[in-house]
Amino acid sequence: MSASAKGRSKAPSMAGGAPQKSMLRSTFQHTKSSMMVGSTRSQVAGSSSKKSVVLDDGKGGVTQRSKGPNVVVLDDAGNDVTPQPLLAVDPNAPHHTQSKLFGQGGTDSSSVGTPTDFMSQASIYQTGTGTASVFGAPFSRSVMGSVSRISGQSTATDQSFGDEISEAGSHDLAPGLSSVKTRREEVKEVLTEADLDLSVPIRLTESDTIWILDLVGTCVANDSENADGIRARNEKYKELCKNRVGNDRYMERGMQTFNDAPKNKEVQAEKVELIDTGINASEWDMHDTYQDLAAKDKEKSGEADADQDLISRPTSKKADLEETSVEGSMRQGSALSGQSGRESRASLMGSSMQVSQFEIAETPAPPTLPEKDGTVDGVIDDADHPLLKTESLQHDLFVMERVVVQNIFQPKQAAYRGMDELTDVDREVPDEPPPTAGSMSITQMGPNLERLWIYHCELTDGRNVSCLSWNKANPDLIAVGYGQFGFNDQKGGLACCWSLKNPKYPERVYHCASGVVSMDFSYQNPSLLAVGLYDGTVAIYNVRSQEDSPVLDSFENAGKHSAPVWQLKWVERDRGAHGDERGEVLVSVSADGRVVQWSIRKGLEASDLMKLKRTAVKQTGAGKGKEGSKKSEGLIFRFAPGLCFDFSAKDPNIYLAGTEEGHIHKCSCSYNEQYLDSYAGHTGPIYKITWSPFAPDIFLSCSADWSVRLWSHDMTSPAINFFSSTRSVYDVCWSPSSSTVFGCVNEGAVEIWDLSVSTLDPIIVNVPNPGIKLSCISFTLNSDCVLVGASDGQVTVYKLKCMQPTPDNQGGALRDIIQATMASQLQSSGKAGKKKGSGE
Amino acid sequence: MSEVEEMLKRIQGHKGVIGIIVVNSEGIPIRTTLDNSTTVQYAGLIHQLSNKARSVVRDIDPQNDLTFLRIRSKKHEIMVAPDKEYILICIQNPSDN
Repeated sequence: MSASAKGRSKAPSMAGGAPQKSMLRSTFQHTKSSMMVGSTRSQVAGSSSKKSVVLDDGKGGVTQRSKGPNVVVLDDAGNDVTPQPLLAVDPNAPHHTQSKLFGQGGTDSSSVGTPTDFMSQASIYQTGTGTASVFGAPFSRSVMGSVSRISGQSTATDQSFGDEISEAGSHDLAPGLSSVKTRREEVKEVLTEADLDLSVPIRLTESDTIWILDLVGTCVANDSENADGIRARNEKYKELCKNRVGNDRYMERGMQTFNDAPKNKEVQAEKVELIDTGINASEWDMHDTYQDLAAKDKEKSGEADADQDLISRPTSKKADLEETSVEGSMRQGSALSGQSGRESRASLMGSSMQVSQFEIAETPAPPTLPEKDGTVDGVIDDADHPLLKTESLQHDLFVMERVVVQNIFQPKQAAYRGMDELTDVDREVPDEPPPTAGSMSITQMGPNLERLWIYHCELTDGRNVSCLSWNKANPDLIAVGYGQFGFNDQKGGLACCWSLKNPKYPERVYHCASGVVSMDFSYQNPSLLAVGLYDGTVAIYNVRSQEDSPVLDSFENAGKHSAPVWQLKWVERDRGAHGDERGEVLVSVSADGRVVQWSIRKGLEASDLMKLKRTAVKQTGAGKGKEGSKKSEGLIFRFAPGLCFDFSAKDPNIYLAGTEEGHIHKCSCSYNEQYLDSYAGHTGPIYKITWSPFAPDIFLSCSADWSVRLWSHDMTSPAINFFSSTRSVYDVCWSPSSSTVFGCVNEGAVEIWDLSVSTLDPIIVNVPNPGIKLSCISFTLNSDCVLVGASDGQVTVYKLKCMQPTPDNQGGALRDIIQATMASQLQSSGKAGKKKGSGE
Repeated sequence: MSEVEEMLKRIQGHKGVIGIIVVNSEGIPIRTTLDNSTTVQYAGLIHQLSNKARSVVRDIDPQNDLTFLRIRSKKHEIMVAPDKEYILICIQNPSDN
């Protein structure tokens, strides 16, 4: 049996000698057909028809029926566990084609088959081999075996073959296999048109279920039918095992199993990256994260907020203390040095204020940053860096400047405030006698002015200071107007707001088309600054804004002035006539002879309060003013240029106006045709009139006739005259703290007068540098200092030292002095003659 | 010239001011009036100190925040204005006459 020999020879190589395999081998020898690899015409899948053995499951024995080629495998329970073939031949398949195919050389049966038949055979053959490999060694062996057998029986007739086939039951041998041995002629199948029209029935049927793998479970449910039986068997087995120990019937015997050769297999996985991170949750870190969460909740609840960037910002993971987890990346803790970026963001996380302003373009810095710190050699000196354009940098620079300046000026500013000067402990004191000794000697000299500092910057260099005005709300802010007085040298004007805290540069700078000659801060709206210009324009600035343009301008106004506005004042007046509550109006006087009241309700509206008519006021009486005015109507200029005015504190309806003629007129807002009173005395233009803050019926006036005169409102001639110099006095100002002190400035000096000390001479005379003319003076409201403006653009702050203590009854004291002075004057005039009674 | 540039110039021109540095949040100076090595030194060191100071302030009260830091030494004074995005440092010798 060459076939079987062949089969046997193949066996060892295949199976490796397992006992069961040998069993199988023998099995195969017996079987004539062992074909799983059946073939069908139209089916590839095997049917569930009867089959022969392929392999055993190893458990039960392989029982075989010696009869017949069919091998049926039964397990212990007697179940038929014969593996079913995958390929099974339909027992009802027509055999005639088979016989055709298997036409041997001897037969004359038509060995012609259509290619389609061949194809099917060939495909079956293919599948046959395919399945042979699938099923493994036994199959292939069996295939081979059968092939050889077939070849061996090549002379078998169809009949015998058919017998074989029939022996196999419903099995077919792989008919395709035989086609390998016997080649037949191929007849070309002629396709005809008719074929195309052939309706080819295609029948789709459900194939049978294929059991590819059936692993019988080793567990059985407690309530299945077999349960009892199985339980009994289990018990029996346990008994058996127990009895085995020490039982003679059982003998221990060793066996050697063949170990399969181990095979090493290597697998490479991606490297697991380990990163060590530390986090230090500080209190503010946690606080910030809570703020974040709260803000996020707010956002989600749809409140309109400016927290647009919250979501994009990284949040931190909390420490174990926190229960809630925050989404986002881990933040490096403050333990790592140089993590300022994140920490600063950490501190910011909660606040939503200025976040939206900044570009939070920075993502969390990479963990390598700490190493960079301290080893940075590059300085990016980029003038266009976006950080440099942020508003907060500007603000910080502003603060920094103040701080720097404070360092420089601290002693002076302390002196200004009347505080103790802080000595710099680290400052190296020179061996010369300390400056305090010097100042001691100065104080021994009597009242003096100590120069503290100068408000001055290059912007204001060369401009003449024309006016000063204190802010009503913040007494540390002063507005200074720069403008030339003379007609010939007019240039652009400047209005600056200086702060006490920074004498080096003004806080606000407003450029004006023409010289600024007057200005005043408003009471009601402390940020409104009214500026009067040389060309007659009245402009109102809002000092809150940095813009260089006025909020309101009288340029298009019909009632505007046509000549320099020499004085501006905000006046709080009852506007009972109009039914309004207490309001504030702006009053201006200008060289065109009109006193104009401006209201800022809707834009700038002007209304004339008074036209300063020229008068020839006689020395004797004021009542003649009316007639005087009629007389003067023939003059070319009907109006007298007004240079100054001042509203009475006692009665806001009454004001004094000074003209270029040298007359002072007392006017009322209710009458705009005539003066209430006129005061004659000055012989030159009156530059300033000011009521005394302590005695409401006494006022001072200064003029270009080299004199300052003190008046009482009920007397048309001055009470006291002050002649101290031979220069025109530009400005005079009462001291806010002492009723008998006033300061005046003439071209060449600053003079501080104290009437309680002397009415003939000033107590302090301070001469500036030569070549500089002084133009304005103002006392500070919250300190003992006086500001003096000069023609070179400098405003100097002087401290009054060693002044007389203020009298208790300020008003009374002043009046007493006046009385005394007048009395003495009368006396002296009485001696010298009555003509001298009215002081010139 | 931008506002910021003007102000920087002005501050630099004040009496006794040695230099002024603007450092970004990573510790890299972006604007300085001093030489490179000094700038880098100041930037790195002040940066760390300012963070520590802020940490101190905030640890005591998380709703608080550091607004200004001044370090007075024998020779001069270092003024630091920290912010979320940058740090502004100014060195001045106030007793300079």
